[in-house]
Amino acid sequence: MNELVKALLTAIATVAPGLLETWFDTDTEEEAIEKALAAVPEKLTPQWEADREARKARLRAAAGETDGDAS
Amino acid sequence: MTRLALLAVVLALPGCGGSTVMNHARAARTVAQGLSVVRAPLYAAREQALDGVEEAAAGMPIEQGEASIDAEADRWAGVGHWFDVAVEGVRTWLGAVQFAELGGDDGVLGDFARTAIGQYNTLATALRGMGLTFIPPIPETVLDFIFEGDGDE
Repeated sequence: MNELVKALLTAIATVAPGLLETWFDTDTEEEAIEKALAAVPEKLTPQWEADREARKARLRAAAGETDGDAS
Repeated sequence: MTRLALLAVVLALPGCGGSTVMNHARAARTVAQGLSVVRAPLYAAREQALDGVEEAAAGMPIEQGEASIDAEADRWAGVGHWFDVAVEGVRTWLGAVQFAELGGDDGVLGDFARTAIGQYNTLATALRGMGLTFIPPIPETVLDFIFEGDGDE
């Protein structure tokens, strides 16, 4: 491969990571939108709030067991 | 200058330099991928921090233990909020892209893009504020694609 082309591809990959994958697809507009929607991650807060409550519940359960052991 | 040269080269390649809808769909995908890259290490970092607090809380009176879990969870709630705002921003942007693809106005897409990218950058700032630097920057070339011709980017 021509050194210039190599250097150019390296520069593109360095300056714009992700572009090679995303911009070189030959999708229709609809397919491009579908791929973009599929790439959107889930929100964090609902999971984090459930996790917070689960941790507190574990703490209460452990304390209850300790109390039970002591009585 | 280098960015402009690269943009010109990429636009000239087959499959590149598409319609406004196509460019926004691809740009939104790049931002969504950035959020996906962030999610797992962010989740893991909070998990590790809370595991430590929960372990320490096991030896405390129940109210004190719960308060320490709440305090640590609250410490992470800010970045969680900004992450969710950024996710919602990309979804809204893509909703506008879908509308444009169906024949709606594509002249408003730049506004949705600016909002979503602003929210992404706010998340990056919030993460850096917690010492977390694993969020990838949005490539400048992506911004060039979607704001090309706007004159203010």
